[in-house]
Amino acid sequence: MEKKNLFPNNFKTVLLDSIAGKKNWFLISFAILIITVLIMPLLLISEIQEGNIVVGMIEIFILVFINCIIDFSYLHDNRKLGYYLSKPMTSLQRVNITIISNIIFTAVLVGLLFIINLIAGIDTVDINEMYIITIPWLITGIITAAFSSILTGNSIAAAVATVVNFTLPLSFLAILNYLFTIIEDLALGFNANILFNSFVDNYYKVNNLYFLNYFDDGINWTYFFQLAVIMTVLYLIGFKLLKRRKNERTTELVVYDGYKYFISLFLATLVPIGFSLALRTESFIGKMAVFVLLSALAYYIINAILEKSFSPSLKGLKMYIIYLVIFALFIVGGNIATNQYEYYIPEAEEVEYAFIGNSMYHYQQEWDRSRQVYDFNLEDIKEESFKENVDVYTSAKSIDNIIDIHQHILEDQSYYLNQNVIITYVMKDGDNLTRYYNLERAEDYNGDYLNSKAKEILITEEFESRLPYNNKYFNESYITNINFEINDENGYKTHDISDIDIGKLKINLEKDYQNYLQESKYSFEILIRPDANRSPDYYIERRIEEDKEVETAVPEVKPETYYRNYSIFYETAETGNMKYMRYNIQINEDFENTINMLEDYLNIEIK
Amino acid sequence: MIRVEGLNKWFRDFNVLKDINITANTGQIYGLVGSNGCGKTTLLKHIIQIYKGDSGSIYYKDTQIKEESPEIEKFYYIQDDLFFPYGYNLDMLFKYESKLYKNMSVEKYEKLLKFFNIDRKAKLTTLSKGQKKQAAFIIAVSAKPEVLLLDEVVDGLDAVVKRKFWNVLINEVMERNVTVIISSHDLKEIDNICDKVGIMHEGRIIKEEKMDILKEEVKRVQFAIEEEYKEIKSDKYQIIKTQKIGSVYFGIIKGDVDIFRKDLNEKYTLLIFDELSMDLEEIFITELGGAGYGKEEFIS
Repeated sequence: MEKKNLFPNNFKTVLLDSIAGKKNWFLISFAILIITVLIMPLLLISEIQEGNIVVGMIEIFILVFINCIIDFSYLHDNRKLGYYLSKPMTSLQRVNITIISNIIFTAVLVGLLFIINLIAGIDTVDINEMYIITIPWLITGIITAAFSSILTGNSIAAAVATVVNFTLPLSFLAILNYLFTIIEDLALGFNANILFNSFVDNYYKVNNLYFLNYFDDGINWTYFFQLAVIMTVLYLIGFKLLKRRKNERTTELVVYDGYKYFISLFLATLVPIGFSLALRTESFIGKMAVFVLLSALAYYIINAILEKSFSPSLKGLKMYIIYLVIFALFIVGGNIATNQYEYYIPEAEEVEYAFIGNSMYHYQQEWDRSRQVYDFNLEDIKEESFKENVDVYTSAKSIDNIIDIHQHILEDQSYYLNQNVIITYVMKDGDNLTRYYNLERAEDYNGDYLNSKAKEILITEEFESRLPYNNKYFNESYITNINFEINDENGYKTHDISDIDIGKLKINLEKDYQNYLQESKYSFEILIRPDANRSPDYYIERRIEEDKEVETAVPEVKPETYYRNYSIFYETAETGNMKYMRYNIQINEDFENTINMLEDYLNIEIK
Repeated sequence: MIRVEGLNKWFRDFNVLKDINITANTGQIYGLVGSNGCGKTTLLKHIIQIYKGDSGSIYYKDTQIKEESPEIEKFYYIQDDLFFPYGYNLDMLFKYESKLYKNMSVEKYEKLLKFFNIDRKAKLTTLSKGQKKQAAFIIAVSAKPEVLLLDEVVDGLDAVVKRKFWNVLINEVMERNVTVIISSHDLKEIDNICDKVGIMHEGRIIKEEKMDILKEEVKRVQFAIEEEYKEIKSDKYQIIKTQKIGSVYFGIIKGDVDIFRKDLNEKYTLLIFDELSMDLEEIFITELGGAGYGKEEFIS
């Protein structure tokens, strides 16, 4: 009969012995925590602050990390391995005892920090959340250290592998983002950031994996369930690895060939991605060639370090060729997959509502915990707060016009200047279709079509209803404070206009806005960036002139080259369900009625 | 009884153990000898389940041994390169190992401490190489194992301590019928103690035999004849090596020496013929020489 239990028969004795072996570590850890978190702050600033508790938690992380690496170091020394594995206790039982003794060690340190926390009387949401997040990190970190130590044959390699494995899901984000930049390069209308954010929000929920979602949600049964699942998965990985561990490879950096090639290829992918952030890219072929060159170089160097030999192995070469083939298949597959969607535009009847704007405007359209346009759905539009915070178009006429604009952009991506446009459709079947286009400056660009289509949207009631002077809180009964701010070559100046006649100001703003929307030659620019802090007529034409000048000489910085921003800020009181809010109405130098009124009120010359 | 059957092990592309088959009977002292790097330590580490073989099996009393087998509790392994837990003295080590081995005997421990005269309170890391070997041996014997696996255990010990070692070991075998597998380079030492020997070379067991039979199989002869000697071929014996010094020939014969003597007598005028026994070291060199090891000659 064979012992298949996870713990030895004399589990309690061996565990107590293992904990007793940590006596000195307990003492030094207690001393570190008590001195740095309790005594030092009291001596220096007479109180213990949140920051000190956070420092204490960081110290616990470091102490637990060092302890784990030391405790599993028997896997990395032939003498120790020979001694411990020859004893009547299986490798699995020994690993289990080490994990448990380290969890107990960690619990005692966290308990001590918590007691200090209680003594200090700090009971803030931030500190409580710190415990909620870091305790699972510590526990999963111990198991990660265990299986990283099993994977490696050297304690330094184990320490590095623990960090790499623990952050592996995060590192994948960098690879994902790079793959999406390839899609962006391959297909018109696709944007890496939007694809990445959409993928991370909907599929690769890395925040949840690291328990960060509990910052907002607080602890519930899923917290413990998730912790149990992650611990089980990590433990099973360790268990499987241990069963197949080749102890004779102890002292090599990595014991498993599979992990060695995985980590080499993983790092060989991250290196060119890191470089790509620093390098300017103009050619897709060039970008791919640089990726292959840098990854090959990185792969060779990493392999040379892991194998302790500069001679490339045939197996290593095969693995790299397989990797390149997969990479090439991704490019070809990505190209084929996106080709069929590249020129797709939905029918107006299929669309429930739509959004159009440039990236800056798009980022202002956040709703419900940073959800952005690529994530909007059919349910959102039913919410009152969505309508208040997000500028989407629901009328059939506006949707038709957006579709026409979209069609035109697909045919021609030129513009007065370099600009970008994001168009989102939320379909009646609940799907979300988001496209991103980079418009490029073209000499003698004729924007009549885009401007005429945009103007049709600008004059709709839907657009007008969301103009700032129509905000329901822009009313004397809500406003508690109102200021006018000028930002020009002399810097920021704020003027208190608390006694101004809001009703009259509203009338002047309406006149100016209507005039601005009707008279502007650049309606498309207003549509995709409706904040009126710069007149597009002034802004676009000056940019075009500046661009011409840049071609011949660097223009001298003169006071008149500063953009002038004018803003009316007002605040509303916290009443009933309504929270304290601060609103901003941006105007520009073409808003003559408003500026004249403000000049009269303030008795200053504004322009 | 320990039995290794068809054990194979590859260290990447290097076949370090090639179809190993050995049997050490209960109460037997089995000597594992071989050239440097031939795989003796690797074989012992497979028996104690530190390494896992790519194929083949290891049996103890007909039960296949795996890492989780309870039979492993009956084994004790002393490795060549000793390790002791940090900061331990011998008493602490005894206390620690008492939690792992059920049969650990305080009485035996005390007797052995006295016999080897080791400082029980001295930190084990501060002891000399020989003292460390004695400390490890004391703990091993105190654990009262049924199987003792000793890797180069007498290496670095002086003659007196070696003698003490063998005394204790023989005593254990006599009293408790312990099975001992001992690997050593010191062939003269294990020559006098082993019941059976396995000679390893380049990952193979090239010879496994009981010591008395082994010594019967290979003999050294010296003879003198009137004529010039030319090699005689026979299927009853094999002349492994002959060398003439002065007028006397020295030869190593595997097989029936009496028939060789008779053949010599028939073919030549035999003046002198003496049969001499060989020690383990000579047998070892002969066997490995047959396998092509150590035949190179240094030319300055």
